[in-house]
Amino acid sequence: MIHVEIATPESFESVLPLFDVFRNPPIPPEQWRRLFHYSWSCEEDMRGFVLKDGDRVVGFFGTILYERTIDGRVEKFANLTSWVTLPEYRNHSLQLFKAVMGIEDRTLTCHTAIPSIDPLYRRFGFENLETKWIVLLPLPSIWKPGGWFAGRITMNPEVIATELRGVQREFFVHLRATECEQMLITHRGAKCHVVFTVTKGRRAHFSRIHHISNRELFRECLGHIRWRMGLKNRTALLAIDARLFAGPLPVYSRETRLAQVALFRSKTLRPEQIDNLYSEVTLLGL
Amino acid sequence: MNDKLLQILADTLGVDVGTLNEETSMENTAAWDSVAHLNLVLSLEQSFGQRFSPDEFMQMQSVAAIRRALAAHGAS
Repeated sequence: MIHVEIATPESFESVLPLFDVFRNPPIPPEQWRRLFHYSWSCEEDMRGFVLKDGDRVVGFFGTILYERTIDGRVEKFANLTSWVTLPEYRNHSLQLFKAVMGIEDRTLTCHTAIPSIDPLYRRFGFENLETKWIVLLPLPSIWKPGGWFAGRITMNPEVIATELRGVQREFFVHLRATECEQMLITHRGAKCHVVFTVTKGRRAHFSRIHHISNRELFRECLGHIRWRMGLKNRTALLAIDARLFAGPLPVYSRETRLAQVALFRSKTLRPEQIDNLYSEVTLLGL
Repeated sequence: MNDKLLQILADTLGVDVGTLNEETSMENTAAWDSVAHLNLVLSLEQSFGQRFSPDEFMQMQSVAAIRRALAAHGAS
């Protein structure tokens, strides 16, 4: 009998073989484990849904559950991830989708909806979360920021751990064991915590930013940040989801349309209020 | 209508219309996966000039269920 059950942290071992079937991109088991065993507290045990044929797991649709305080309100999220079904059970995969669409009390986000499935999400109330990136190109040497910077930029985890407080420190701790890089900018008494990943693109490595705690300060110090990221991570390009970087385009930058649009469904939030901090992008290092 | 429905289903699934009948469903048809289902419902909407709700979308997982949904929209 083929049926759907709620996946829990204990489901990890039985779901893992499914990921081996779809090793694109190849992701090691310890990263997949993060979808089931969070580094943050979560009241709910649900980690998504499994499709089972008898006792055998033949499909999975993951949900990364977390909460954020936005504009003074606690908002509940589920980031959708890893909808996989064994080829011989593909005609049952809609059961998983139906189960996930039944999550009504959370903002749902999906960063990796393939274009052929995009209309399916929209049919169920999803809208664009992000359609484009701002790509910051390498600065010519003449644009190198002067030697004197009144603030400080650090990527030293020990320093960041010491200086961050409250919820930002929680973010730092929760993602410290992942492939995410973290940066702290301190300038004129203000702080900006940045979380990003370094990804191999088609032609070059680039840094992709997922969280900016202080967008005004980030923009103000952008020249120095670009240099520091390029220097430290050897990444010439810096990509930011456009909704996280409102305002005029900086010098040597351009907008790029995403081949894979990010989607969301929410009763309370707008796209610019939602970042990628707790998502498959950061947990799986995509 | 039945012929039209079965022809749309056959075109969407890439199978011979002769292999389809009133018992055909997602359960017993390997080619009828989630992407095919999406394309099928979109084709039905276009062909019959209807718009199905998300609930109907999920229920239309067999020829019989599609027939009921079309009838409920007065498209039978």
